[in-house]
Amino acid sequence: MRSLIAIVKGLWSVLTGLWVTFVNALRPPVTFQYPEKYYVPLEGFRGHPALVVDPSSGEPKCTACQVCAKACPLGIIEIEAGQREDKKRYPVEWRLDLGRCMVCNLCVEACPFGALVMSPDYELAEYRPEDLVWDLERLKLPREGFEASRLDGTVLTVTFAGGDRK
Amino acid sequence: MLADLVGLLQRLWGQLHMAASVSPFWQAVFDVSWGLVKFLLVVLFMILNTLVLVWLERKLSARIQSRLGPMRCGRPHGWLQLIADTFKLLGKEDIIPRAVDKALFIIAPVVVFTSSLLIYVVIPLGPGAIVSDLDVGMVYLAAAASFTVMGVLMAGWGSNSKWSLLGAMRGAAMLVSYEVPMVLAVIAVVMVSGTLSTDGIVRAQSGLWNIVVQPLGFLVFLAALFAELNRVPFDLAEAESELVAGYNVEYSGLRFAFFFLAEYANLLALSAVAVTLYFGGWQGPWLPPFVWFMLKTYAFVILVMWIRWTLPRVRVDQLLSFGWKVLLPAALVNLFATGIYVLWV
Repeated sequence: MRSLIAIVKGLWSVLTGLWVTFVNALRPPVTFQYPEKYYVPLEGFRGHPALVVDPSSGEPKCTACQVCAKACPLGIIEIEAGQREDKKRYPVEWRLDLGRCMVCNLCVEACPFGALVMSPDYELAEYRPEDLVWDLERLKLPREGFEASRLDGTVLTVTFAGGDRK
Repeated sequence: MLADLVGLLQRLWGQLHMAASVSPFWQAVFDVSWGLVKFLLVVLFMILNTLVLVWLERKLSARIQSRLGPMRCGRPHGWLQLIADTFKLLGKEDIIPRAVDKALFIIAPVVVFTSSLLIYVVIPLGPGAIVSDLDVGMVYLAAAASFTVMGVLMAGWGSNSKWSLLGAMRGAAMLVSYEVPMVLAVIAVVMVSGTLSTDGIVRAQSGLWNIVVQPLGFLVFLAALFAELNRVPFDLAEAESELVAGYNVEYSGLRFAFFFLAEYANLLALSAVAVTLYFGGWQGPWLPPFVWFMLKTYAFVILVMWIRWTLPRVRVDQLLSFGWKVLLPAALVNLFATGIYVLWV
């Protein structure tokens, strides 16, 4: 008699399991189909450092003070300073080796002028390591698909403005 | 238009049959050619359905597991994935390890594939649409289903590897010990229908499907079916996570494809047998019989897949104990009750 009850209980447990899987099969799947859909990271995501461009002048806000270069633990920032007619310093060359950057945010924290910010772009692959050394033009923000916006007057956020991917 | 084509083919067949009755020689030629045509149709049916089944299994298991399954190869839902996988398997190197028993190693996949093919001979796809309406159809079916054991043992022993041998031994033990309750359940159906021929069993269900008359028999048959198909919860012979694919671990490329396709062909064949025995085969209102048959078979296949992706694997001693101590008594009780039903109802 006990074994008969055990059989009935076993059968009931099988049916319960089947109900669970059936209900789960009707729920939408949780897969995010990455290349077809672009994954927008959360705010504060560190993709790569970028130079903020002052919208009034169209030039980067960087004054080539070398504080970020000194703060970088890997020493991958190289800046050549120059001086304009009105005695304002500006960077002639600004290079960052993205292949060695560990996005630790120390350069962004160190900059006293708020000229550096972390961009959330993560699709940075290149075919040759030499192409990973970005210069002034490539590091400027805003660039195609990304724009910098002010949050509360001091903190800058970078947002992906690209819309849906093809 | 399809009905016109079928009518034309039937008239052509009738004309050829009459022309062949001129002499015994031409009669023999006609019979052999017609047999070959039927064989090719069966192989085509088997292969096409196997492709659909593998795709269905991947998509169904994905949805049950909250994921998507093949999506890229063949843009709407990856229907070309199977073709891609077949090409991949065909392009692999045919490795025959040095220490194997060559004859057994080479013949085993063929035996397993053929045993699946043999079952298709007695499956009625429609009224009269059967390859060969044997009078002893169910006995033939039990014999053909037992062929797989031979193929599994040949593969396991011939592979000359511990994993294969263990997998094959467990598989053979399971297959053999679950054939007994399966055949007993089939005998009960034969008693109710009064005939051993599969076509006769389908026709005998025109009033009432056998599942209503034989609920216990159906449960016994279902449990035995999973063991015969080597599917979870009874897939000890090829348990992927335990025996590294068991008896087919040493196989690669086309030979492995044979085992893989044979498993799904077997699934379809035995589902069709279950539908024939318990769910009225091709019987049904409005729709053409073949459509009913395919709908019922695929519904049964989906049930088998659904159970496969729900239940955990059963340990080998639990498996054999269940087969002999639970299923066999249940099958005997069912047989006894069916005897009383047939005699007095």
